Amino acid sequence: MKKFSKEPKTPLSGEKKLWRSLDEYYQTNNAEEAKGREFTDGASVLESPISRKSFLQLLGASFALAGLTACRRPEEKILPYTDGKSALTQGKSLYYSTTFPLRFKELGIQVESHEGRPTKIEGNPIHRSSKGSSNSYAQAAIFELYDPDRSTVPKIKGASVSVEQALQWLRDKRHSIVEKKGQGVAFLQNPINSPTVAGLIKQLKEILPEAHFHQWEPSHHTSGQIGIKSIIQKQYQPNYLLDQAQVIVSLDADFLGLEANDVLNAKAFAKNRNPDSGKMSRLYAAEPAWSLTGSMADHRLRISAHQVPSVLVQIGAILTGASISIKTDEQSTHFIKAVVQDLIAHKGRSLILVGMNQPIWVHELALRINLLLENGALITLHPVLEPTHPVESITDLTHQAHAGKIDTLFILGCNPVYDAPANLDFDGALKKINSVIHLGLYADETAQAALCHIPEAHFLESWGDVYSSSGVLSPIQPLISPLFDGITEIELLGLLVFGQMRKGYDILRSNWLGSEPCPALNCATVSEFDWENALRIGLFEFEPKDKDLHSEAANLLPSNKESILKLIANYREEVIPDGFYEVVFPLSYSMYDGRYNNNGWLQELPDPFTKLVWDNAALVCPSTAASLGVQNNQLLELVVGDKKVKAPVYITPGVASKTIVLSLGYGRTVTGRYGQNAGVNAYKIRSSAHMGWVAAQVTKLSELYRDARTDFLPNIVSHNELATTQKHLSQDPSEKFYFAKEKSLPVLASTNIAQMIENSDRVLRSGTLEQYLKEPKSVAHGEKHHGEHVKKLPLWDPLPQKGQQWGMAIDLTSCIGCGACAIACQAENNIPIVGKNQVLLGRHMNWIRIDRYYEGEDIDNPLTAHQPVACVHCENAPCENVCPAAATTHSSDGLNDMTYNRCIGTRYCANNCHYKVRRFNFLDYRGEVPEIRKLMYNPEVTLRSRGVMEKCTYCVQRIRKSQTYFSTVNIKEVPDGEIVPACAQACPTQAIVFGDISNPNTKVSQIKASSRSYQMLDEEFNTKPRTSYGARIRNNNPELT
Amino acid sequence: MSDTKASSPFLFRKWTNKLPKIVVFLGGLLTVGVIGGVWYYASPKNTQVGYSPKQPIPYSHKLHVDELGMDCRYCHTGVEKTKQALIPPSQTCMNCHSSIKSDSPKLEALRTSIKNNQPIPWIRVHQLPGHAHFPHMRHIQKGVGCVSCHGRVDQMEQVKQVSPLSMSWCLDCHQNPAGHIREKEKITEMTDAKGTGSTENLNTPLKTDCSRCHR
Repeated sequence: MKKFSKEPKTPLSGEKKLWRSLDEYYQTNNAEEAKGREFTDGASVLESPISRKSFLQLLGASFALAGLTACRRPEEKILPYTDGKSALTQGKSLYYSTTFPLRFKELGIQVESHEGRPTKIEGNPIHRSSKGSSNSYAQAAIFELYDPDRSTVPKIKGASVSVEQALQWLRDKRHSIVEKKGQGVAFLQNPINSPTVAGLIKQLKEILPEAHFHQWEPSHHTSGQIGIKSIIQKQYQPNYLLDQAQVIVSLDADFLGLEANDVLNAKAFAKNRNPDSGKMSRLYAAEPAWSLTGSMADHRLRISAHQVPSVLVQIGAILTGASISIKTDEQSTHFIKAVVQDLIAHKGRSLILVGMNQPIWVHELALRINLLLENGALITLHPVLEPTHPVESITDLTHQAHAGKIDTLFILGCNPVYDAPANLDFDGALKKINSVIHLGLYADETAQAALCHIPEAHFLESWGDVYSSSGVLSPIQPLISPLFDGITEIELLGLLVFGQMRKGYDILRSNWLGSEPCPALNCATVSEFDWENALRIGLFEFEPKDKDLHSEAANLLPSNKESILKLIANYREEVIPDGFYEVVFPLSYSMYDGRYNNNGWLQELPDPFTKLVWDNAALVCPSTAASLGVQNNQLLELVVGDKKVKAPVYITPGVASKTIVLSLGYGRTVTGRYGQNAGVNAYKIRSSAHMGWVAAQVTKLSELYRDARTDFLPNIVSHNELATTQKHLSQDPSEKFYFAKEKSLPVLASTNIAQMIENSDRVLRSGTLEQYLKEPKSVAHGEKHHGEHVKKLPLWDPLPQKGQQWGMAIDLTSCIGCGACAIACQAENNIPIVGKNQVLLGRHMNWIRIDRYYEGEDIDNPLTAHQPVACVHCENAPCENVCPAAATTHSSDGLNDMTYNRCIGTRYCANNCHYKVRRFNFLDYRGEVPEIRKLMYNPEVTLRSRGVMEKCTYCVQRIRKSQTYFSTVNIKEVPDGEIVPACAQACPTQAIVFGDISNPNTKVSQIKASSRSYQMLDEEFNTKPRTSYGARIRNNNPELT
Repeated sequence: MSDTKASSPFLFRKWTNKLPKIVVFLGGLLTVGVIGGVWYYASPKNTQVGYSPKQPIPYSHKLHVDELGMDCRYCHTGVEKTKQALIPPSQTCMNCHSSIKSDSPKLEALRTSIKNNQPIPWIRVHQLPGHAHFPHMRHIQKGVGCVSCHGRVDQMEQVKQVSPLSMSWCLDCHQNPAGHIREKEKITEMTDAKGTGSTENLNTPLKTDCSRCHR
């Protein structure tokens, strides 16, 4: 193997530069090498080398066995139903409506069930929260349902007991606490979003008048609600009508990703971002770490979290004419000035959003400035069932426990031992409580500390209801009976209220058919018909009239300006002492707050920016890394008071200077097989005073990050490495350069490395709205893109095309890079997860990779664009011509078919693919799958074994299913919009559109006709891909360019 | 001396002159035999066709279809709706057998199934590999009759596989469907005669794309 030097060469220069990694930025040889390679270094290395002798033995034995078994497959039984009344028809999947109940991100969903096994989650098209789309958390819930590491048995004092025994124990417990009227009893739950739970709590308060009820969630989503409360004295969930806003200012607010109602927001945002209609909102973002929102921003200000309030204060000061003295750099001043001008120009059609990690007063100030700018009507308010302030709530609980005032604590569904603020000493508090009863999906950290642990039923196994943050009441109905005999929160509270175990269904039904199903919303009793209908369509047709901030705060408007001035006057700049660094704690795009820690799909979903999998890391920008003197993988010790945590460095352009980003949700100590040893626990240094950021002393350690999971790796990959997919599978439009070099031919004069990297802007094309409106063709088909025309001489006769022709369009202007498509694809197509070691070897299997390109010359502060790449189904597919087994062939409707049973694993096809979208099963990733996981598989898609190539099929099973259906009802052509691949269905912004391209009237044909539509690498290689991309258009403010 | 010479242990016997020819002949025979054997015995025509396992209930298609004249779709209800033709639930049998021959010893398995609410463990006769997807409803809709693949089920006391269900067998019909297409009303008719339905009614061109069946 050749050795390549790592020293940086000349950094990029020139007009517009796109790069995916620092290696590419510095044009190191590693980057060129990666582009020319079929797979990453080490991908085809044998991990446990088998000797030649044992290989031959195995070969002989397998021949002999093959001879014995070839006669006939083993006998198989067919077990029909006995009574025939079942609604199930074998071979026909059914869909049920239910609700994904994650607080603040509730989604109306439809779940596909095959013979009683839920296998795939889709958005519910009529539910406001999802409108048919979903996010990666909801998509991955299937993996969680069939997790063999879920808690399976109740435990009392550490000993396993039967469910009946545990319930008897609870009944006895109830008896004693009811006698004491709840003295010394406390409850800790997630923020309540279920009307039935709220009703049970109300009844419980009557039985246990002395008991205390607390709510806790580590994500801090309630800040917005409390901000509203500080203005109008009543807690509401704010919602933003982003589709009506022309100017959106996001201050550390990831409304497209981590904030409440992400799917709803993304849909509304994308609706007003269509350059082809000429209407495009403008998004400004000021944030310390990359967020999906920041990556979509037209202008992004890189600023530390503790300085974000100062941006708002300055905006407020300019708008109100207040005088302040805040020191800012030129860039910020410029940014703020432009923002204010835009806000004033779009009065009544602009929005300022503040992130959940900012203090309450910042939320209040932003809302007040919105009111001042007459934007109040764009902020709708939804009632909150049980208003709470989680940080105060858990602080209060812990203080009481420390004071010995609590004797019995019920913890329902949360994991505070892991995620409570570190300064509270929640562990210590628990030790002072006699009996802790924990209900949870996993026997997690809190379960270990509890006296009694009861397994909770998964939401796909439960009856329940939800009032979503988007303001829709919807039922939760089970798809399968509890796999591990779990019980629900409703059932446990029911046991405490009624003194006996009642089924969740009965409690729920009696609540909805009884009087006052939801007092907080004042909704009427539902009829039997309404109830059945709600289960069918997935929501109760009860829509309380939307309130908006403008009308609710109408009487406060006259005094609004004074309040703003007061808030501004009270502002004191936060100062990070010398030698300290700011550490910010965003939620993780994969693990959320840590509850999805054992979800393998999410663990292996690359982070949208770092592309890290199976780990979090301390992210720092290149200049901060230089000032700290650290490299990737080097350990940093972050010390806050007496708490400290060690985290490996990962250098990430775009992070604010002197800021370290450490995402939450990793470093669990008690978790399952997937979460074991994954990442570091940021909660250890997060305190209740500052939930969003903290000033930490940072020490550089000499050691490198070591991970027990990678100990078995062959020496080819250095052990202690964070696994990132960003360097894998990079494309190179000028591949001829590489070939020239390999064959020791003189390098063509016209191609050099710099040009090679410059060429990546042909892969991802972008431009400004101004340019696009002036010269539509220039963005995607400008001079540069025509520069090196390959003469399009087909090598083979064109393939016959019969019937409808399938194609796809992906709009880079609306792709937010969230990864929902990747997880949806994984669920639909039975794609395995491979584990950290295998990812390090470059063997990850996701059919869709989302390339994240940095753009610009400033290595600390680049722009970002996302580009999902899956098989593009070339009409002149280079892979097909080289397959010796004809395993990959072209279908008459234009699909690049992959026939797994023909594949002999030569990998010639992958080698010949310009897009690097083919994935090879280097090992049998199915072999060691636990039995219960097999319930998860989609029976429509063949499972692949070792030695088989696979790739995106455009969800051919869905195409064929639709064609079969329409042919049986005698409709010749499948109507437009009937076939939706899993990725397109999940996409919250509908950036992916699929359909028949032979008909000019279909949606996909119309999108492809747009002037910004281009085919990646087609001009270079004449592959004629069926997937086209819409160039990324930014609505830049001329003032700022 | 000549005697001793003839019987010298250092010389090959005369018959050994034929040995190369014999070896070549036997070797050739063996090769042909092995190839021929594998060709015949390992092909689905031999391994699949004729498979006729004993079922838990000796259900006679001859009696029910030929003599009593029942339509296939009375029991195999999924054939027009789903991929699978479906084996009927025990209750379907009981529609008649609760009053007819209700105490027959042959129906013991059926009665236990109903009593215990446990399925009857029928043994699958027609087995496709997991990587091949075959939708019944589409074939029925296009006019491929039951008899084309399953043979004269009406003459079978115990169901037997008559077609190899191999890929080349599938393709034979996909490439040349004439004779296999029946009129709608004759779809379940059990005759040896060739189908007389028109192949023009196949509104999409007959597909031999890989992803039609493999995905």
